[in-house]
Amino acid sequence: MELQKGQKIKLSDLNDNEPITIRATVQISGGEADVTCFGVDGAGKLSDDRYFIFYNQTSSPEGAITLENSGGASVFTVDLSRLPSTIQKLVVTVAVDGGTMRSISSGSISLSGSKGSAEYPFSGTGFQEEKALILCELYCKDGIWRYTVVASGFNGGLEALLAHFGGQAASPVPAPAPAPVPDPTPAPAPAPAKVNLSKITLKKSGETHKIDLSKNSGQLHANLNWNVGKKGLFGLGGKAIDLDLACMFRLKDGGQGVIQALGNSFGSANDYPYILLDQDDRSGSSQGGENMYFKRPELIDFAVIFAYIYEGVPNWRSTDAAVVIKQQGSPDIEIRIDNPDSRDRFCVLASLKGGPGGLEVRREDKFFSGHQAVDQYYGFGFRWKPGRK
Amino acid sequence: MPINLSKGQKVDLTKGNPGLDKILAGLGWDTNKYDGGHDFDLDVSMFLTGASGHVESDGNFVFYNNPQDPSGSVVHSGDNRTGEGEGDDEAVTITLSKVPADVQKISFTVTIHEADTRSQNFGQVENAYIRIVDLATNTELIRYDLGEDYSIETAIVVGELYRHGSEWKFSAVGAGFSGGLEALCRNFGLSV
Repeated sequence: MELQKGQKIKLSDLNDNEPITIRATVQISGGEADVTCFGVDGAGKLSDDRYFIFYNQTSSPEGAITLENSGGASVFTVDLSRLPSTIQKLVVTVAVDGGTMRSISSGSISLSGSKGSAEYPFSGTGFQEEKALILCELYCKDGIWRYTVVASGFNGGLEALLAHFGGQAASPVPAPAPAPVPDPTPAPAPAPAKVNLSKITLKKSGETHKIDLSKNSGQLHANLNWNVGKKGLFGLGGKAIDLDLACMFRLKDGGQGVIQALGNSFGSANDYPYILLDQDDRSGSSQGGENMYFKRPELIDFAVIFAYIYEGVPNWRSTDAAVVIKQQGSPDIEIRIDNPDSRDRFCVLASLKGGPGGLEVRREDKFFSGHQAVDQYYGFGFRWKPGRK
Repeated sequence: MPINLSKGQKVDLTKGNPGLDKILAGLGWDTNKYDGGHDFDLDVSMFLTGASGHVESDGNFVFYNNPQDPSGSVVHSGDNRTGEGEGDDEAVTITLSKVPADVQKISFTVTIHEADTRSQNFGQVENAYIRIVDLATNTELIRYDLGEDYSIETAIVVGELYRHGSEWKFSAVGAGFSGGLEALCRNFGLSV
């Protein structure tokens, strides 16, 4: 059935206790639209950030709400039977970056259940200067779940939307621009975001891949990338998170050290130890993340590549951090943090172990409280004193 | 404690409250959640109907352009254009003893002004209610919360005060219509 704006229907008319899907498409000329879902309490407030479902957090903790992007549509799958009773309303919203809702060329929101579906098609003609819209709501009142098409919004965009849900809209958003420009590339993927069919992903801890150095002479490039933009923009993750890339190494000649921004130990490309950390981007706004180059990988006896959170509360979950190890002519090796709940500041993502004719890249995914703990675990034997970057 | 009515329920008003004469009918709702789009303007109107079920003279249609009936028994407090603020959005004072004998029923309605051009309906209105207050004691006697049953309607007959013998009763009607105030006027026998 096709719904009108404002129309309310009982969910039981469309569904029998099965998971349902809510599918949204928004085509907007000259802008980008982000569809998100807020799971709010009985007072309409987002009392738990984990029920803010967007592309960086595609599932609620128990999996009752999940988000998938398929064919240009944002598809939420909702299993109300698994949703905690504190969540009384799911609100699907869209915000645009650039332009207003008037520039929507076509859009639709639909709910599909086991007994039928309800669609609402729309276009820019129904809107004025809104920059954020509530598309629809699925809400429980007096024990009955209902679905309604709202299709109304806020000229003030995201901030107004957040204020609507009791979010900390105004305070953490930096002053200069009304809303910081989100990453133009939505995917938090590492720098060469082009589809690389030969990419190797090390998924399980301890999984290894051997780089054959005899065939692929040349430098090894480790890129650390993570997501800062949107989380900070929505004001839910607090400040933007800055990760630092670093490594501890031991060369075959016995020389060892730490390459890191802390203490300006950036290393050198052309001189010993032939390992270079190219930048420390403390704002975290660099598109490319942080890069480390192992110019002469054949010299490496053992090294660990790690990321650390220098400032702020460690919140790995929102970083979606990954390191990609690249060597020309070889497939990229991706290692993503899989256990982001740790409160430790250091995460060793990968280790490199030199062997006859090759370098073994091993997935580590281990968390540590600091330099010394990493050192102790891997047995480098450094002497430590505090430093500042 | 007021009596909370559900849709369709009818209760005695004067029977249990001897001496009740001057009452206030307060109506409220929430709309202003969004700062984009058009503002909502909801209007409360009263239709004073005779035995035929029709409004027998135009003066017995009490609305924003006719704030009281000729007898002065039903007085509209005035139009609140935005629905902002706590408490009742619009209120009507009724003096039961002054209601002309040929008026059998006073219907309280809420309609959305320019609903069609603004793409608005009662699905976008929340927490709508009517309450009846005894103005002599300032106590709330009856309350009816309209709930979640409205969606694409643009007019609602919220409730009715009606004569039952020598007493007055109240009925929680909660009937939704499309077509706004015009449709209601035609329903009550007025030409618009």
